[in-house]
Amino acid sequence: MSISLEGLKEALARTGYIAEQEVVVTLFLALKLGKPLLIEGPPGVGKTEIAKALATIFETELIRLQCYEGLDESRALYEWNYQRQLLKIQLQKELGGSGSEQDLFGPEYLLERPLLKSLTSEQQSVLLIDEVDKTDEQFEAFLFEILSDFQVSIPEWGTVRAKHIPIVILTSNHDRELSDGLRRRCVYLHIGYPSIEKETAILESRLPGIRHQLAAELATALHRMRALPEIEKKPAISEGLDWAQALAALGHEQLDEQALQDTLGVVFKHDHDLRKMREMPGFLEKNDPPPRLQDSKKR
Amino acid sequence: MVNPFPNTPTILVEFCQILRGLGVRVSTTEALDAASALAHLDWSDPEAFRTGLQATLIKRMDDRPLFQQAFKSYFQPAERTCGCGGQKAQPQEEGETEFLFQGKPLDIPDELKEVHRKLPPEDQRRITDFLERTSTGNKVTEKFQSIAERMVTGSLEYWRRQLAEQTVQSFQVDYTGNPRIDAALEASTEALQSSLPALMQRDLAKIAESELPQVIQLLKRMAKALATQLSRRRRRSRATQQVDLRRTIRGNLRYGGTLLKVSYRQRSRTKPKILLLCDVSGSMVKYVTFVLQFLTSVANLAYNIESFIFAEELERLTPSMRTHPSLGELSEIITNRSAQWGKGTHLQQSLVSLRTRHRRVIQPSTVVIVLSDTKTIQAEAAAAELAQLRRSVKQILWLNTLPREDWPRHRTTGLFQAHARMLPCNTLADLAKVVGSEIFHLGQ
Repeated sequence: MSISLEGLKEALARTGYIAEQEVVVTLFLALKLGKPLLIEGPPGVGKTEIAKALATIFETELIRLQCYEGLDESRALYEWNYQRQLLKIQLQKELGGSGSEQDLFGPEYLLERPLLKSLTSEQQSVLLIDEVDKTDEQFEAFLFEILSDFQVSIPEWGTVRAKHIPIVILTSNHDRELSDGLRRRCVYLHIGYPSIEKETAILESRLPGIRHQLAAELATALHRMRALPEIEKKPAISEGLDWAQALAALGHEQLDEQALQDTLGVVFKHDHDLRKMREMPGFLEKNDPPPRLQDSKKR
Repeated sequence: MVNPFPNTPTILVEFCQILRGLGVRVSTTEALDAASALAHLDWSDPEAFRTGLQATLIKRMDDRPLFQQAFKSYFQPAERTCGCGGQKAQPQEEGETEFLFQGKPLDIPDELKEVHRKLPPEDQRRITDFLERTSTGNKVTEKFQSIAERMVTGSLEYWRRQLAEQTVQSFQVDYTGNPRIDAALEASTEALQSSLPALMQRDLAKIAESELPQVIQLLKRMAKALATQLSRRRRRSRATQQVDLRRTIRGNLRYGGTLLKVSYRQRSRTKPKILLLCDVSGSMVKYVTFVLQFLTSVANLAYNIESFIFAEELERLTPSMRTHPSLGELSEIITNRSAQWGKGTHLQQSLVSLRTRHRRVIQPSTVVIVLSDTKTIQAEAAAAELAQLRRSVKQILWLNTLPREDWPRHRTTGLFQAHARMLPCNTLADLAKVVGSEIFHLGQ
């Protein structure tokens, strides 16, 4: 992957992804070392967006494996099209065609799932393994083979090696502690909530019509909300963007108490958090510096 | 690219050793990755250099403060040296303080003199000033020497306990014998002492009222993370499922008997039973409220929990726990409504009550968790009763609220360790570890 550090930074900016130097350097190293990048951080801070930005930068396909509880190899790697194979057998039987058993294991009967698809892709793709912490340990161990050697074994075919080693991005919300083995194979990046300045820039970049003053007010309010220990689900960047759009839709040009009360439901998605915020009249007037954030550690 | 370090491999190896010394797991692969990463970076940019090492050597957010401090100590060291050669550097040798009373030396044991040497200068001075003032006081005769001796000994005993407590909270560092590495290790350790994740590492009994909201949030987060794992563990993956022939055949009748869809079945699992015995004597209330709330919020999902509190007698708490009381309510239940709160501990009598009055909760599948500081009257009889209980249940886990370092000083700890698996449960970090590594696996 021939790209310089500065080139990557500029390319990320062109895609609308505002990244700090730490993010750029880590991403650059993952690309240069050909290692998967494991990104951890609270939900909604732009982990998945990095993979999308990379696919845009390298003009390549983004192959996404959305992890969930109970995800297994057949959903992640490949599956034989059992129904189609049966149909073929039935047809052969009824129409009297000839064919060997091997014919039933050709590429047309193989359902490629995201992992295999990324290995057999004709050009280097971006493989996003999203929310890897949602899977169980067995699946994580299975990922080792792919992430180390970029090859998989299909009993009927033998070993399938990657035509092009994909750019692999793994994301985790830290719902479950990932194993040392998986971590060791990756370059690691933690993304926390952005600073006020960065969030202002994100709002301005994503919502070109927004006034600078309003963007700064929103970013400051979000920063202070995240610092409140009573709030269980901290508002994410995406919720900040929704908030700005909601204010625009309601015709609010500045963030005042009325605007806040009207749009709290866009920012907070838990009854408990909503109640807590409603119990804090004059939240916006208080200019005391926010307490130190502890968001970075989810546990 | 400018390489400011002429001997990069050595530098990198030493830095990895410092990280390992601080408890960060750094493998050889990761060290090699770091070396490769540095080859791609401009070394004149200190930020890129630091990020390069961080991204390749540090794979957990929790380890990041350790990395940052180690980096600072090793690559930007302050002007100080460590003369240690494999052992932690001793405080600078100073002339031994003479504890003199009217010119005569006091009989102070050497170990207490050592404690005095470890004190901050102002506290050292306070003791010597006291001696000086007392020596020169009006009508002070030689007879006062023994009183002064006792006063100084008492004060130094106090400081010994204080220092021991601080040591418990400190990092366990593995020194290497290489002076350069040890100097950086020592500098890192000192700096990290003051920035320990305070609440997680603090003795539960010392958590202030004002910190409760933060603690409750922490408990909730920990509980959520662990509960997610517990609920996930109970589900069996498809790989280990069995084909449900009856359902498969029934489901495929519509296809003329061709097996197009395969159904699987899961093996049902029974909830293991947990029997919680919490000591509520003396200063145990905070430990008990934290542990009870945490355990019940995490484990209620997967386990059947019977909760008891005990001091002189045993009292069943399960009905009160069914209402999911908050931390404050739980504390109120224990301190105000319970007859046992604040009494002395009589474990043996409580265990006898359990055996005789609550026989049905003792079953071969039961895991007993005792939360106590092991201090009880009639400890031998209690140990014998515990041994009897051990024979009737699956396992006994003892969560000891005393720091592990204090265990050897308490005879009772050794007595009960013979019949129970004892684990420290002194801080929130301990609590999370115990639940994550022990209680979490009870159902397997």
